[in-house]
Amino acid sequence: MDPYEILGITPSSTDEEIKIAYRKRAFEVTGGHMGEELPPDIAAKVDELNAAYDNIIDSRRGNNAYSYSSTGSYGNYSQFYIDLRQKLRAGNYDEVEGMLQSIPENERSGEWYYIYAQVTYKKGRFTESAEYAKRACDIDSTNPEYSDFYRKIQADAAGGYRQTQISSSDECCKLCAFLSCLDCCCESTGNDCIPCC
Amino acid sequence: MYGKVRINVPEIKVREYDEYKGIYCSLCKILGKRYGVLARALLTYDLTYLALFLLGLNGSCVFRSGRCPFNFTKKCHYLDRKSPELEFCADVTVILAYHKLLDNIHDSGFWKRILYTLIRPYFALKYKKAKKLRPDICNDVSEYIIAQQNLESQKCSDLDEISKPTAELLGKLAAYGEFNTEIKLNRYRIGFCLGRWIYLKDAIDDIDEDIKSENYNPFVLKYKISDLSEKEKYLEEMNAQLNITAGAFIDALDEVTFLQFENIINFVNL
Repeated sequence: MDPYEILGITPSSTDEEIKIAYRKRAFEVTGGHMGEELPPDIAAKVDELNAAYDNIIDSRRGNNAYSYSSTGSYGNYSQFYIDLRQKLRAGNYDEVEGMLQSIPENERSGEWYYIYAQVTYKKGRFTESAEYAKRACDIDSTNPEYSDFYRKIQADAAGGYRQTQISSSDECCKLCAFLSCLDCCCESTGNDCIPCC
Repeated sequence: MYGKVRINVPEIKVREYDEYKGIYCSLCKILGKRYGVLARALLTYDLTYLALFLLGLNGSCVFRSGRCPFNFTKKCHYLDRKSPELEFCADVTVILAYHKLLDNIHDSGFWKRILYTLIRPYFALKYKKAKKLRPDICNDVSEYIIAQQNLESQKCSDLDEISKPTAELLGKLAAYGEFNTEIKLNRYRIGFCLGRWIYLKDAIDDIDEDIKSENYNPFVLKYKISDLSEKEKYLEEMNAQLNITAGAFIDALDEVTFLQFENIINFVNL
């Protein structure tokens, strides 16, 4: 059966619409069941839903595989670090950490510290991650990728995430932006929507 | 009501605040229905947030009005659908509260210890009921308690390590009942970050008391704080640790889609 049909959407639906459709269908089928196991007939329907959802999401991600841009990747990274980055993207955090630990301390480059900072951040060891991110910047201060990550951690440390909360809830921003655009369009045709603007 | 996870009320709509209150009134009601009137006192902001999170994921929430059984002048809103999410939160509330009670019996002074010991048998019965309904959650909570106690007895000063049991427990609670692998991981991460934040916030707030009573405190050990004046020196760095966790939590929220209450869930007071 067509995965889009199972979720009740079309191929032109956005990613967000797909996720919303999945949640709605999952709730319809399970009734919000809170347990690790389901009755067999419902479990079968949920498996079908999951297969459809994963199929669509993976195929869309597959189309975007080459749009990943490592902005500011300087120099020639050896194949080892390229592999590590791929494994990191795939979510194999334990494997990445193990591979990094196998490099002796005197051979650890800025890239080593950056990827270690990334994997510890993914694993929730934020204190350790911040230290390693700083080390990466100390070793290679010209790499924008390293400094972007460290700057993000420092911004969060200073409370910058509160701004993210406000801009995620940007209904007022959208309204002001819309009115401001409307006013400009009106003025360009000789009229005026908002006289004081 | 206890709990660290509060909503930044000025930033949400009035309707949304009513919805939030509706959720905790509904949780209070279900606690009373499932575990008796005294269990209503166990209601916390933290578990209310978990309820908000789980209900927001599933949506289909409508509210009907009613009255508060303890204050007839107060109008309440109650969730008007069957809610396994609230039942789950009620069970978790009782399980966590009972363990906290045992902790309090162990740590308190003479008179408080007598009081807690007197109410223990009543809550032990409620815990027994919750354990029958959620044996897996009880296991997780027991494991978390043991891990926490071990780390504290070893005088662990590594913030990542000491906050891990709470983080992992809340990760499991947030991911509970999810049947899609990828979404489960994303929900786990949200719970993990929040659990870590709750633990570190508790630890920072308790520094003064822990110095006086010489109780375990990871920040006191890590920064070797011997008195309150020294605490001021390290306050910025300690809050930085808390804030980095909060930042990761806000980022993690983006990875999951909510059908309702997204704005309220977003505006946690971190």
